[in-house]
Amino acid sequence: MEFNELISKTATVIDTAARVKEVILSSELQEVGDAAGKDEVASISVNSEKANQLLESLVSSKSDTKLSKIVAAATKIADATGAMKLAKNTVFDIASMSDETVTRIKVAYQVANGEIDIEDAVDKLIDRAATRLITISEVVINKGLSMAVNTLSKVLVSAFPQTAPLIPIIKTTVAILQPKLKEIAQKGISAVAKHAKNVAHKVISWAKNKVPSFAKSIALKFA
Amino acid sequence: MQVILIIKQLDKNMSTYQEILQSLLEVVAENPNSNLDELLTKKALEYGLSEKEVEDISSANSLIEKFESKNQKLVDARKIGMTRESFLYEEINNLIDGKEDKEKEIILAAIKDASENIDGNIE
Repeated sequence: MEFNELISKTATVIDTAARVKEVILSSELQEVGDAAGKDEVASISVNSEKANQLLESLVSSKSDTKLSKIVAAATKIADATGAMKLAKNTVFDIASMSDETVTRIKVAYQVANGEIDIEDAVDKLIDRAATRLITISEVVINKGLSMAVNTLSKVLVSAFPQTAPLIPIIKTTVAILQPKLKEIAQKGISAVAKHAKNVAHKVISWAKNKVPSFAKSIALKFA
Repeated sequence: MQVILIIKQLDKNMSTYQEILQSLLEVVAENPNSNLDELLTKKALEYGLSEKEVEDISSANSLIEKFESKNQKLVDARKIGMTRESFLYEEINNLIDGKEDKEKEIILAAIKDASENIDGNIE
């Protein structure tokens, strides 16, 4: 097979994977989100007025990376001190989880405020996962490639964070927002989650046509 | 269901994680003119992290900036009519450009493998 054809197929696989991952993650967020409002954690917000102002400006900012960096530092500290042990805790895992958390909250904020429509929101989240995979590939490959396919693959898959640790991180980050901002974020997350879940079968059909090798296992989750 | 069980297990530690996140936000808010990386490093050291663990935070944050930059590149590409798939094609092409065929094969196979194994990364 020509490399051009291989590259084209690889691009399709990434695109499909990012779509499928978004549907799965949103589905899990919806289930957890339904109970989140009743959770005592969700009722605790930051006491400092200055911190609340900072949070509001960071959540409403479209491209600032400051909040992602703060979440990454908190996640690393929590893992290192045993407050929240992560099964996968490489630099790539922590950066990806933090990026996904903050992107999701920012996108939710934009949806709830009517700045973007729901389809754009889902697209943004899919874009983000796809570009994370490319970025991690660049970083690893630029360091010098001396690993086997399966070893490299295990590093690259961190671009798509594991759902189990990600949801508590998202939940906690939303929980510390002041009530008004929290309500906006929760409303947006819920809207994105419902929409993604609604289009699950469309995404599965897409995956079946594009990458049949892994569409079946994904489809089972939504059977 | 598995996710909910894990969350329940984690909930007992949630306040601690929450406290860490809050303390970082507060120190950043109280020092608006200070360098963010330096503030986070100082707090990490206060929590007893080793030099290596603190370095991991800096590396993660450097990666986050790269994520943002790459995402912006896609946003710009979309503005001139590129699809996500065509953008990815160009990026992968750049990624393997100049590499020997064997290396190209490894990179493409690993990306494909990682993408097809997101299901295994769900838990």
